[in-house]
Amino acid sequence: MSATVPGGPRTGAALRAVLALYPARYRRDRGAELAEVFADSTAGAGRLATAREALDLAGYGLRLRTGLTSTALGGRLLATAAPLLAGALAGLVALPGDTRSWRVADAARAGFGVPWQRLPDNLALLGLTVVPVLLAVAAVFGAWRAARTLAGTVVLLAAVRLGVVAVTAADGWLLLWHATALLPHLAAGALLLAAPADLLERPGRLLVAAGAGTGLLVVKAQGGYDSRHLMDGWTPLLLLLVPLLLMLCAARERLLPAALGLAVLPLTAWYSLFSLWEQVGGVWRLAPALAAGAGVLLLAGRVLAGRQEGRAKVS
Amino acid sequence: MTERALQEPTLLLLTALADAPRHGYALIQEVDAISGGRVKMRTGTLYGALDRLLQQGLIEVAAEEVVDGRARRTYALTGGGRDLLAAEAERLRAVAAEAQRRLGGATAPRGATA
Repeated sequence: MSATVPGGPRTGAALRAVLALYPARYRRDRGAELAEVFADSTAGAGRLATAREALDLAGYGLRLRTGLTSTALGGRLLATAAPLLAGALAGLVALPGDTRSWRVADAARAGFGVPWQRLPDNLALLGLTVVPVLLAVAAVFGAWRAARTLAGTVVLLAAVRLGVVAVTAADGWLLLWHATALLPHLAAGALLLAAPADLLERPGRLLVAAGAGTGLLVVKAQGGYDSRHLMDGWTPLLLLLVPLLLMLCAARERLLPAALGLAVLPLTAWYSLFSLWEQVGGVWRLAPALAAGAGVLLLAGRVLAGRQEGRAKVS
Repeated sequence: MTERALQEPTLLLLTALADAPRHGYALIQEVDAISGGRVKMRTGTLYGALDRLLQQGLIEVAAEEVVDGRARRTYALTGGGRDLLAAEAERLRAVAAEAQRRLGGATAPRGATA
């Protein structure tokens, strides 16, 4: 080993903060070892290299904390869902005849010839039309590093549009309406980014195609995130419950149906919740039903996982 | 024989442990040397891979000791890890040999017609 002092007080404080992200048991078991390796790796390194090392260390701590390592169920589920999510993001693209396609066409025609205040939103709108398609192509060819970079870009572009909407929306209703069309990009992109990189190794042609098809169907069922086609009756509930029920399959180690549910949920959850909120007439009326539903699903997941564990012990 | 190719970081880590047990920072240095400086493994990535390989039974903790007041845990290949690495090395050798053979076959006619 090349160094004995972990890089001075500033680095020491940063290291302690990073190690605090790790679960306590892991930190007790491996904290000193991690600190030593970190100290050796960053000895004589510049600030940027030390920051990168610290970010990498923090990233693994967060994965352990959230159960998203490549050996944990959550991580394996996200990795299975990654090609479906890549396809689903491409399925969000505005097709001709969809009201969103008019806005895209307007933005493309205007180009840079708009007031500077509208430029970020226009560019982000055009980006969200092109980047998800590139992301799906990268996933088809198994170029997962590129796909993850593009997923980060999608998250950033959606965040820009949400920020613009938050500043410019005339009222809360309009903000929520716009959010229903933007949160799918943000959530699906973030889930793709959270998938463990070491499990993303193969081209996912069929799953990307299945994700894209499902995405297109779901968006069509939701009327292209257009308030004039707000869903009524059981449709919003079904589009919320079916993916959630599919995700319960993960408790029985059936990852593919669970991954399909996980890929569809970011596309449907926000619009379904918005539609249900509209139907029942307010957050406070919707909240008890949501809490009860979440409780039932959690209970069902635990029961299923318990049975699976029992079977594993017997076998 | 392995059903699918090992990912490069996994292959490099198993290779780094093939001749002797090593501790964390030594593994980072070995991976750097084996890959000719191309792969620089960071601490979080290293421990993510080590935890996975431990869980898969491909490596094991060979020793836990305190050296100069510093915690040090050394890792070693298990029998399963050694078999997997041998199978992967054989697969890579066969592919490399075939590539060499075809390259050799391709250069002869080109040279003959030039």
